[in-house]
Amino acid sequence: MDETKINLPDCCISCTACITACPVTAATHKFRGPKMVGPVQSRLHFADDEMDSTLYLCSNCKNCDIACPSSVPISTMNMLARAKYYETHKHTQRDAILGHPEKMGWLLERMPLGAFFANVGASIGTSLGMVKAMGLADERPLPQFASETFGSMLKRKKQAVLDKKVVFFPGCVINYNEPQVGMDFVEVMNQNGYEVLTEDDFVCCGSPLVTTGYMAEAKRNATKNSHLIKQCIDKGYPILTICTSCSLMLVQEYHELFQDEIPDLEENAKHIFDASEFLMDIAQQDQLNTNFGEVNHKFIYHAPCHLRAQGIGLPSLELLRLVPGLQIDDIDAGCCGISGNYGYKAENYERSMKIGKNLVNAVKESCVDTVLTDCGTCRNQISHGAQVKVKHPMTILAESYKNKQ
Amino acid sequence: MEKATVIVIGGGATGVGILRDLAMRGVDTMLLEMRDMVNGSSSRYHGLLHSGGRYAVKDSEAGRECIEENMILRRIGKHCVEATEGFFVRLPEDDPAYEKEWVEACKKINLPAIQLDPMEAWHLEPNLTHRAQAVYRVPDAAIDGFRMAWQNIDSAKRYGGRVKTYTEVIRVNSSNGQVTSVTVQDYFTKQKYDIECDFVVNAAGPWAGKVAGFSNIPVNVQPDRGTLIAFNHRITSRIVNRLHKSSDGDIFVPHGSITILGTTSRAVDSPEDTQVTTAEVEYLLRIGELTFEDLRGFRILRAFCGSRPLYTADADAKGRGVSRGFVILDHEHDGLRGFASICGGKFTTYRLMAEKMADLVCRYINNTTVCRTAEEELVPDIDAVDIKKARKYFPSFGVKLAASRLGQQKFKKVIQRMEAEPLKREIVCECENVTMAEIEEMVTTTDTASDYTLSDIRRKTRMGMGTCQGAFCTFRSMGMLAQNDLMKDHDAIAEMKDFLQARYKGISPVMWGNTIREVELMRGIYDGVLNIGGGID
Amino acid sequence: MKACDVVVIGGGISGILAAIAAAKKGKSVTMLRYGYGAFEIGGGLIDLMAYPNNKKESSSLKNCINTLPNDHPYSKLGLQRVEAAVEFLLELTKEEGYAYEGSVDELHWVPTAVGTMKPTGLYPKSFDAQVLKKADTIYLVDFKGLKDYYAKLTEKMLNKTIGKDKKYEIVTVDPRMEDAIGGRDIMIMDIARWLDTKEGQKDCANQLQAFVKPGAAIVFPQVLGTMPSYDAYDKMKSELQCDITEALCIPPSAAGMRLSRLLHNAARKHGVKIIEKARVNSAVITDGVCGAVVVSGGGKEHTYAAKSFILVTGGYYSGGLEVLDNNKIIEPIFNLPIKIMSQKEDEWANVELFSNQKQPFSLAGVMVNHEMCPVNEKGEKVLKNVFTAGRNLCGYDFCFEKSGNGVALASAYQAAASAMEV
Repeated sequence: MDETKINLPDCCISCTACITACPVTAATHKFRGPKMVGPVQSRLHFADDEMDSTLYLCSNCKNCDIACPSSVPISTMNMLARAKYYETHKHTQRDAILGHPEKMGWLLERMPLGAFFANVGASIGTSLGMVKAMGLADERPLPQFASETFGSMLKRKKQAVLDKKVVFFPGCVINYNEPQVGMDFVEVMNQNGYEVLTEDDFVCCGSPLVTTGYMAEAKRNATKNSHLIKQCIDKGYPILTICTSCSLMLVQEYHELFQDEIPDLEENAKHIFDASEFLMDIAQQDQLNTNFGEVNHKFIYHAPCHLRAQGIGLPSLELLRLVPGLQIDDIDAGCCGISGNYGYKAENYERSMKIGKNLVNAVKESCVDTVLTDCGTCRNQISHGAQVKVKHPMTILAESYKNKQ
Repeated sequence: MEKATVIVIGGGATGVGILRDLAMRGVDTMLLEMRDMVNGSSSRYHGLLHSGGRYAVKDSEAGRECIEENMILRRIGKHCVEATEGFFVRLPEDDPAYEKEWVEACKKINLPAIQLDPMEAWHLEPNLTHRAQAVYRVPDAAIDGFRMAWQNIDSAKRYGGRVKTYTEVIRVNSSNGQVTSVTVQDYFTKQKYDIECDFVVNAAGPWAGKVAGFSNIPVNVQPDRGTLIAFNHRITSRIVNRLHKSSDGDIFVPHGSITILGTTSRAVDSPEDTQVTTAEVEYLLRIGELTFEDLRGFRILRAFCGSRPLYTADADAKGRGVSRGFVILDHEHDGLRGFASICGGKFTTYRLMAEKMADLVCRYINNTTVCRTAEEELVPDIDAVDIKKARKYFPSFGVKLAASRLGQQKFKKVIQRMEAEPLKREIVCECENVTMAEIEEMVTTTDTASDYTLSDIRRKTRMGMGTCQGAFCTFRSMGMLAQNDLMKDHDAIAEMKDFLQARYKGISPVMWGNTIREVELMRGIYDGVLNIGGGID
Repeated sequence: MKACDVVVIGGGISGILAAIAAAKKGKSVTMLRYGYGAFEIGGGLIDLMAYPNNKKESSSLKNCINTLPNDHPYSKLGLQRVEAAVEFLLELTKEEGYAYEGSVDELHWVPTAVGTMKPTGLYPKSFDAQVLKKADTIYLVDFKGLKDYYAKLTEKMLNKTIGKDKKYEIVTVDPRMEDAIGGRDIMIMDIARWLDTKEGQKDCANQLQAFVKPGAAIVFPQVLGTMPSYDAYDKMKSELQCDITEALCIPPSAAGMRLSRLLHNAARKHGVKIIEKARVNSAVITDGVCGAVVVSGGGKEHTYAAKSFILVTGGYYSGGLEVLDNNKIIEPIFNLPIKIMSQKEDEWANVELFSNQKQPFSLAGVMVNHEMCPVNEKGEKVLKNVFTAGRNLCGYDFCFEKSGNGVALASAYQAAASAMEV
């Protein structure tokens, strides 16, 4: 199969694999399904400007892409169709908020006690019904903003100047909501002899922009990020990220959405890694610091859909298995249901909980108290649905290294 | 005995055009077609509504006719013509001297051919080769042969015109040198019967010779075969012609979601020889890939062929040399009054051909009404209200396609069915968006034949013509028909096998790439899982 | 570079079976899969063999294996090894709580949605045409709004295949999916998922009880669940006190989903490492030995090293064999030699789709010896530590013969055995 032509709906042979894999299709009878809103619509919509009325239900979870034997980029087709829809339809204020987490975070960073007030405000807003009125799901807690951004924390930390360097692409969740996880990552890299640099001018990878139909803006972000990434690569630095939606966006979706429009995407992708992928690669060359301290705990690992779609396996699970005393199992119970900002929309809440029911039940049945997963929104969904603690694998690895000392 | 003033033999473009013209002039006309409408040449060509550019140099009369009729058909046939416009593209392989000649010739026949910068052409059509050295815009358009026929019939019916499909004329009867009736046979029941008439028009296209032969009148029609390839997606949104002396494989025409590349020219013995060979396909690809370099990477849906009815008074002239102009033969000169044949011609000028034949017929029957076929639209526009209503029941991207293929009347009825019974909204053919309501409407209101097949449903609705070529809708349509007690007497298994075989016939010459994968799926489902070959232990 | 024992390239039925076979014997196995195989197309049954030579005479594998041509995969394997593979699968399904039945000795007939009977080899007990033969009254269950199954169509042909002397009655069950009708439409998969739930099973049984008299036989479309479990089947049987059989339908196949899930669970249980969305592009070969395969994933290439490799990438459908437009077939990863019947155009595809002869394009494929090691025309091994199985093998037409999953199973089992000896 000629992979360079994968943007054509030509390759689809109507095998229905995507339909059986789609978690949204399993959860609702309204969604016409990936085959119809993806390749079929793509083939036929020359005749009609209106997009399918059920297109909004696609959560961009990528399970269709994983199942497709024909390399059809179904979810990308859906996102392109969604972008087209918004060329002639207005966004709601709710969409504006969900599509631009970076803008919110940037603003709060510059206001005194911005994060604190934002969190309080969100709480109050929820109880007053304002959050619901805006179209956001008030059944789940909104993401909390950290009082200090990752960027600021990193600047304060005194890292040793090391010969080996990596550039970190934190993404919005790490930068504004869970900066400590970013610091855990830095600890892990330092322990392996890498100094972590960052690029202040990185902007949001664009994933929430794409799913809410702000394609032009996503392209602007992609252009900016790619340019900066190239500069880092030219200096000899690989780019690492610990958010699986960011890595998927940077190494794959940029190419699927903007190939021919932005230079160097394919070449850049060769130097962009999920952090665990990178560490497993150096482990293959016997260069990983295997001085792990004991972590005597039983965990469950949940593989984010966006990680499974990358074709690199589950590298963080493999790293965790190197930690002595640690018991861990891949729960393998399907999509958590939140899929980025999808589950935060009021009209999607119930559906997203239904999609994730299997996973939540499996977590509850396993009787663990902590679930590890690399995706920020997965963490929110699992903690909300299963009422357990959630952590990023980097946090445990950092803890393990620290335990040794 | 049944009676009609005029019998028209042949349900191709010419036949339906004549039916409409005569009906509009108030003549009681019945059209008889031996199989389903447009089963001959009129559905098996590239669907190009010529601007005349192809004929400008060699046959300026034909070129002029084309541009005039083109303008008329765009007007009256809004719902079967897609005004895509066309390009004429000169490649390094083409003689630059021809370009000059061509530009002059276009001016002479009033064909507006506007030169544009190749850079702009590539911007408009990104798949076009960057080796193009000159590009001209012309008012080519794409016409859907099936729709055109059905819409002509709809128009004729409004004026009392009648149609019978699956009714084959086997004899033209006369008395004292004057036509009195035709004897026909029903394809399904095998019943033979007579229909009384005053005049018989032989518009049987490549079979015209056979029909005239019933009365021992020699009409020398040479079936000339043209092979075409249908690609699975819209490679180009415009028609693309090679700017050189007209020859094989030099036209690409977009039709809805597909693109057709054609064509070839080869004399054959029978117009029923419709099996394409891989060699013919390879031949077309080698020519076509000069215009679209990535052509071989695009998926071929199927390959098909049809026979042009080339008429010649001289028995030896064949192929492209023979004139494509049309000729009307009044067989009074052969000793049979009330019988005329119309031969040759091209699709683009069907209306004009019909007008001339209708003039002849009307002279005979002393009807002096003037021809109005160029003035009145074939079918009325679709109501925006109906489109809006349909969006409630249909996936959006299927609404306008269904509306334009059904026509206003049937579209309304289909929506009514969907409103009345929600189950009828379910989609039978997902590749082309054909609902149960539409299929039901088609089969329950078919007043043209004593029976029908799945292929007839396909021709009227586009079921099975999309990506999966019937892999799913074959079963669904058969099941749905059985469920509603339709096609009761048919052997369901045989029906499904025949339908899939017909699809396969066009696929077997192009069994590679993604196309062979589709066949694996088809075989896997019907042979592997459902064991349609039958099995009893 | 760390190598595992076996890398399985492909995650369809052949791939998963090979991976489980090796993992069960204690090998470290990594399975690289792209897509999920053809489970949801096929019926979830294991067709061993039914029509070895023509469409009129059916035969069990045992009775005809000696008459098969030499390059048929079964001929290369021999009856004993096929039986061992069958044993392996039956054991596995039993372990996973969804036991299959059947053997190489006799054909087992199951009803289909078009009312024909289809011969198979190994099957879940919910597929059984025998129950129709024994019964006097046969109920056919329709589901309101289900667009992928029509009891009337089934009945039409069943009359001919099973006999007119039975009483046929159609009963319609309402799955309560009004919101799907005309929007999403209802597929087999939806009904099967409804019957995965206790509520769905109860509701369905209740609705049927109003019409169905005990002691009869009931034909369901294959909707008795998407999970590898007989819960739905057992529930219907006990509530309705009738014999039950499912009928094979068009995709997506619920029975296929069950088998897929069963094998997936087993693979994980036995420690197979599964990498999804991993397309193998090339192999690193030195002196006839494959050291590693290269996968593009995450925008870059990753290598997977192993002692031995099993190539189970399927045929045309999944890209294991590619037909280029000049009618050249290639196996894209190792460039294995391909056997084609003839270079002549009219000997690539038969004129008839459902021909009484096997299709040449189906018979084309990779040549192997009895160890499932790829060979060239002279029978010489092409690679020392690579084995192959499944649809890409030459010499058989799985649609004509009804031998698809059987060849997949037997050749994969042998390929695993050979791989383990490297």
